[in-house]
Amino acid sequence: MTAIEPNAALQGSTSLDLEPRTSPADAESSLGTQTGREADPSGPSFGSATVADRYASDLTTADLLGQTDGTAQREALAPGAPAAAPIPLPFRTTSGRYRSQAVGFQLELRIDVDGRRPLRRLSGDYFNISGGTVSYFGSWTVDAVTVTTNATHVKIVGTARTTWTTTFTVATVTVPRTPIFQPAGPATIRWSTPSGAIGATYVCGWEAGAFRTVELEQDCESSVTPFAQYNTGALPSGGPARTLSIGTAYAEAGVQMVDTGGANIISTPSNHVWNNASLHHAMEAHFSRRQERPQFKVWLLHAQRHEFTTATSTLLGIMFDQQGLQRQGCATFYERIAGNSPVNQRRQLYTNVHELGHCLNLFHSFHKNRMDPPMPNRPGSLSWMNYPSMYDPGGGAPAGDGPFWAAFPFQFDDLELAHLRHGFRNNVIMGGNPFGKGAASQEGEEFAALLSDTTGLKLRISQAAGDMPVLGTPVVLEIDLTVERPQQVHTREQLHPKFGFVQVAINRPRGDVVVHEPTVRHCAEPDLLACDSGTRLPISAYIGYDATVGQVFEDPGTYRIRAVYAAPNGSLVVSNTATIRVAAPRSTQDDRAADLLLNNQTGMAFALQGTDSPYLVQGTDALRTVADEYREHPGAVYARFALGMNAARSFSTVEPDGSVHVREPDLGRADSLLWDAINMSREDGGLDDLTVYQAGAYLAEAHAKAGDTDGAHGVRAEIRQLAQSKNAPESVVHSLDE
Amino acid sequence: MELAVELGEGFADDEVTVLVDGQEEWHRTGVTTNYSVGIADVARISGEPGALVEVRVRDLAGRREVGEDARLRADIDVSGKKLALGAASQGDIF
Repeated sequence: MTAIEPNAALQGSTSLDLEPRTSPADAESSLGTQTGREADPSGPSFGSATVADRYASDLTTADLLGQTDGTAQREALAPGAPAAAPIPLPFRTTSGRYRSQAVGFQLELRIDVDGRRPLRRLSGDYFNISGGTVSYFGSWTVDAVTVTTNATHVKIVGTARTTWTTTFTVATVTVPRTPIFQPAGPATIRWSTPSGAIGATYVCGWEAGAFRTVELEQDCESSVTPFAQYNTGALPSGGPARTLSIGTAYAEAGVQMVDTGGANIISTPSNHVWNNASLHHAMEAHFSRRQERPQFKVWLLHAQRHEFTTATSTLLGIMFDQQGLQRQGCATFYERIAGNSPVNQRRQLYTNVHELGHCLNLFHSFHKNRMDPPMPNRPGSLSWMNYPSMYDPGGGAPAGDGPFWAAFPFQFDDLELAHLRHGFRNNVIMGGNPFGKGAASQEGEEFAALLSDTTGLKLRISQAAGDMPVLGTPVVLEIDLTVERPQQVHTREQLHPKFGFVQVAINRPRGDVVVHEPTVRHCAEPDLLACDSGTRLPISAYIGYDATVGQVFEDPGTYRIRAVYAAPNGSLVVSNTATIRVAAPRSTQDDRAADLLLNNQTGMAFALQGTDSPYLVQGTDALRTVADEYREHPGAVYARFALGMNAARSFSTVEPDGSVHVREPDLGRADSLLWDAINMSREDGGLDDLTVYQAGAYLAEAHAKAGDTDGAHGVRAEIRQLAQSKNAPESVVHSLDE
Repeated sequence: MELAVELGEGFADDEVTVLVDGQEEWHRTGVTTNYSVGIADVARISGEPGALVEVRVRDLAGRREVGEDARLRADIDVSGKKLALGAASQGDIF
């Protein structure tokens, strides 16, 4: 991978041994970038880690004395004094936010392995530092980590999904363990590829116990007394009694809400009724920190009444900002929940925390299926984001307001917590993605949740070639539509995802879902075919490279794939779920071939079935290298196929002076490469059958175009015979007719 | 009497028309659900008990005879293929 990206090894970056040789204090002083915030209620000393997490049996008060003043030794304790049992000292929690120095790429690193409700995740945002400017680059998340703790260090390892394309996806984080009386040590993160190639290393100083910090500006309508705090023990509930404000409720989630103070009192006429337009206008007028760019700053208006309130329904709050850069403002309406009664105080707390949750791009528990991408609803969620009246744990258990409040522990549910702490930055930050887009950090099988199947058509998908692909082997999907009763459907060719009638979603082992975006889109009028019962229309499609995420199958592991076909009558036909397991490289040769094939340029060159483009010369060279020097690798035959297809056609290059240079087809080279690929695929292994037929048909057409009618006829006849011998469906054999 | 027709879930930059006994009473473009409250807009129209209220959006339509309820609600399901027009639920929205 040669693109400049933050996980690759950077020029001048430090190559650190991850087993630190200095004490935590030394490491920190050499870093010199501690920027810890005060008044951070979710900081390490406020954590609630288990005893096993927090205490070290190998550190005692004597150790502490030695470490804190730098002079005291064990021997200095009074000789002959009775040997006191060691008093274990609590360690600082490791979880929190860390930041690297502002050079090149700056990393904001979030570690979530201990402390309050640990999710065992890592995440981070990269910022590009260039001169005096700082710009956001991208985000990454590790959804599951392995944590190893010894007396001196915590080591955290996991595979990241990223907002940009990189092969350096394995994160290894090391943090020194320090007693709570000492400053936190720095976290060191080292990136590597799944095959072990080392990428960049960042040393990040501890910044805060909170995973995010949000500036909260609150204004108040003149007739309203805004909410301050509520004791959760005032009424029965599902959690421990404690006093919660907006700030402490979010601190428990790991989000520091910094009240910026200076609340404006907004004078309104008596019986003033707000609507969404007037709320937005008020935000523009009174939100002093508002800017037309994403920022972790939000405006909350404590107001009296909204126009959506009716005699039988009360609008208690709204995130009204759905224009331009969204989610920067919300409002709570006190008309029917004002006062100091516990019920109303609880309602005020709930509504305020809930509306700010919307600003952080959280949907209601019963609206998760409306998000983009959708998730299953969670009506049984005991969360700030549910409606108590809508609470339904299922299984016949009591539902509704009473059971909700009796069990509600005043918290977000785990998936919401993951979003708040570790969602990609633009999915969380105010002014980032529109409300509902990327509103969950975990994505499910949206096709299954969203779409319904119909009768009369059956869509099956499978890996086109039968073998388990080793890392780097191009992944080709066979998409097979069967018509079970006579009707019109798209032609076989138009079932390729590049026409948009079939869409493919890939759930990757790193935890994300890629809705496949082919690199080339064919905008074509639907070409329909009247089919009889039993007609099969199979087509193969290379899905290894994606216009949005680049290389799709870049990690060993299990991929689950699903497709959906939009039939001419509007039906959406959902396929089975195909499982493809990508094997790790088995040899050094495999590893080198994988590196060549997983290059983004190689992926693009393969998606184009070869190219002369000077912009993809590295990819084309990689294909040549794999074809010639790694003939045993399963990817070699695909490389020959792509190079052969390219040789069989002309290629036009527009020169800098505007003239056009045309490279004519090289039939000799095309014959050599494509017949080689075809012959390597006649038995087990090699290209899948449909790709073999495609190669043969393309070669025949190239011969025909060159005036070699006999040659074309010969190629076509041989391929047709091959297809018949392999019992190819009639539609495929027919496509090979002259 | 005044009727409030809540345009609820599933609206996305839609053109919506509300008719009473076949006469257009309310029309708006760019109607989009705000999922913080599950409401896109509220069409306030006049209609007496027995009148037929119809909501049209995309190629969907929902009809309901006006009864005692002064509030109706229209929701489009997640498939985008069905429009349900019924009585609006009571209670808090937030």
